Amino acid sequence: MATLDGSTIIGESILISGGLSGDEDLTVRGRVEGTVTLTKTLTVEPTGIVKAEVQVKNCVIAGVVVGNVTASESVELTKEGRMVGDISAPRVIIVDGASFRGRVDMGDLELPRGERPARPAARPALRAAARSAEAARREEKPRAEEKAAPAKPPAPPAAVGIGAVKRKVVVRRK
Amino acid sequence: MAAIEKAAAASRGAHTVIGSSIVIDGEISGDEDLVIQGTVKGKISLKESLFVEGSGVIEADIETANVEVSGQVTGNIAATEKVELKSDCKVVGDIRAPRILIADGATFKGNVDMEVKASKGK
Amino acid sequence: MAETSGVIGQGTVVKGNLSGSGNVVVRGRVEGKVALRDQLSIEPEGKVFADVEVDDLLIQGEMSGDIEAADKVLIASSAKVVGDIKAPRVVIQDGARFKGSIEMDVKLPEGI
Repeated sequence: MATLDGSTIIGESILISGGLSGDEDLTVRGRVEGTVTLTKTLTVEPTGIVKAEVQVKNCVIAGVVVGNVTASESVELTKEGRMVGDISAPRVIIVDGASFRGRVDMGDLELPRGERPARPAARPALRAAARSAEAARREEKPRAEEKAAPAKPPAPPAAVGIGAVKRKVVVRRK
Repeated sequence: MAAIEKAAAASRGAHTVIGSSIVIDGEISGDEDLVIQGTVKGKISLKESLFVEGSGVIEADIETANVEVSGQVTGNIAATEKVELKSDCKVVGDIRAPRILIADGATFKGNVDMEVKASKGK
Repeated sequence: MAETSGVIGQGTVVKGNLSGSGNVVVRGRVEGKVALRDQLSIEPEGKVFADVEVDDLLIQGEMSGDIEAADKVLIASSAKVVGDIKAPRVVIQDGARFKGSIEMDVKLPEGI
């Protein structure tokens, strides 16, 4: 049934193919193909199928999404959610039972030095790893964050925020 | 305001409501009633009823069983049952339907054809 | 349920290959490669910089490396993870920080 709270509902038998944009919440029970751009929340219900590039504020996926989802606030895949595509959002929640295949990017991720281990094939890197391990043993007090390693890490730093867009992280404990 | 309109849509039993801030550029098809309060450019093809509410703006050819227009439609309308143009609506395009009602106050420009050869299998 | 067969304490650094069966709890630091038959649990103060192959992985601390789990990976809200994950079940809790790819088996309806 149509909602009374000012959101748009795409019923189960409806197929929309093209570009959909708007300033309100959208609930999909049918099928949308193309692009979806909203300033509010996209909810894909269990019967819903969205095969589109999605750009929204929040996205709740309980149905099927094939395509990339970029959200300025959060993306949640519920127990019945299925998605193939990349997620770009500061908050991502994947509930047990969901299925997903793709990349997840939450923005800047600072990890202390010594990120990805050297692959066996890279010989010189192994020596660098040994050097960095010795350096680690020398300054062994547990530290919360270790930046600026004395020895070069074997692989390029995994998540350095050079030029990366800073996103506001909203952490809400349920 | 939007909530009241949505309530009216709900009372009609419509399952799909395209809200007033939504813009769709493409094709819509389906087997259920559709209420449009937003903007649709492209093509609409339904087996049931289309309600274009006051805020609705459609630039598309429409093919459905029933149409009720209170908003704006620019495009051809082909209905297997009935087309109703309510007052304050604005329709530019050809209408083909076995029954047509145009209310006082409606604005309409186009051809009207009330002979529909065969009804689309219902 | 397998019993805990190893705890890497907070001040400990393990470099190299860590393998075996039983559950391993990491509160210190592991670098290299981990292959376990049961569960690896990285506690909030734990840091693992390694490719990990386990049945079950619970991350509450930091991890950087590729993950292959036979059963499940749970990235808890205090976790920070960078790497590619291949597992039948992956759970990301609200507040977790993650960057990488996830490969689960996704059953899509026909015609997608």
